[in-house]
Amino acid sequence: MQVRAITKVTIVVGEDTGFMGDSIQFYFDRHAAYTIAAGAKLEIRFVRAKLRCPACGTLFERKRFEFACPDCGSDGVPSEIGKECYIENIEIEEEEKS
Amino acid sequence: MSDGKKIIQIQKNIYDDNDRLAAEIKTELASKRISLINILGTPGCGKTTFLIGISKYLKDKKILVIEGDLESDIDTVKLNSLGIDSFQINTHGGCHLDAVMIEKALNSINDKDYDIIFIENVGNLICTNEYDLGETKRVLLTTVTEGSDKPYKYPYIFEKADAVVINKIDLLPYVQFDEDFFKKGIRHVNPTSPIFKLSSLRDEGTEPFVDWLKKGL
Repeated sequence: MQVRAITKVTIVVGEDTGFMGDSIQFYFDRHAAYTIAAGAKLEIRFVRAKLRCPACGTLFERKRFEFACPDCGSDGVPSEIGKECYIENIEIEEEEKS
Repeated sequence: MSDGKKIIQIQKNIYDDNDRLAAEIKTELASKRISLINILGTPGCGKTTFLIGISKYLKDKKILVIEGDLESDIDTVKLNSLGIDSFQINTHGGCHLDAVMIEKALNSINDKDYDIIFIENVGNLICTNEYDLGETKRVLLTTVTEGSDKPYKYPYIFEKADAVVINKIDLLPYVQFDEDFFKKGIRHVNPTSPIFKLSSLRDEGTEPFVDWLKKGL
């Protein structure tokens, strides 16, 4: 398969990574320039972080300065949700067959 | 597709290459029965003094310190002068060490006959946390002078620590440090890792940490 251009890149970014959408876009544009990804649309799927309640298993988004589970009141602990940082897929244009 | 466009699934973590190399380092060192201990903390929290302090209790082990600093060899000169083998990495502005740097350092070290290799990471509570170096254990060094709100402000590094050390407890009479609040903050993100209190400078409370370290070798 010959790729002519990358037209779109979809990435998944969790809240806990600390990466900011505007910054990612800025660096993406800089790095993509003069490559086959130049001008590609960057789609960022942002994931809100969730705590897991060790008592009842509920996954929940915490309120600021609070850790309490909305179902049972126990303090939640960090889960894997919100730590994502990966490229989900890329959209490409193939070279037309001659 | 008629418009010539195609979606290719990637599903690849940004840290994938680093993490794969870190896993290789881990396997390699485990096969040689070498423990790799990653020491993290702020600039000035006493990482070098801490390493000098615990080295006195590790006379029966052959140890090496890999020093990470932006610039200079101040720490390696100091460690070497005390008879502690050390190897300097300068990141030249980089705010953390990564698995590539560790692999390169390990390849440069001729004598591989160590029991424990300590990594003194670059002083930083943010970026250093993101990079797996293939370590056996990750130790976070904090101090009473940094303030007891640190686990709330920098939760991620506390979350991943296998042990949290509170250093400079000899300064407790002179600073405002709410130990209960500090520990509560740690427990929110890390319910199980042990917390040690010590003063490396005064050699107070060093032994419980060394006992924990030795148990994990």
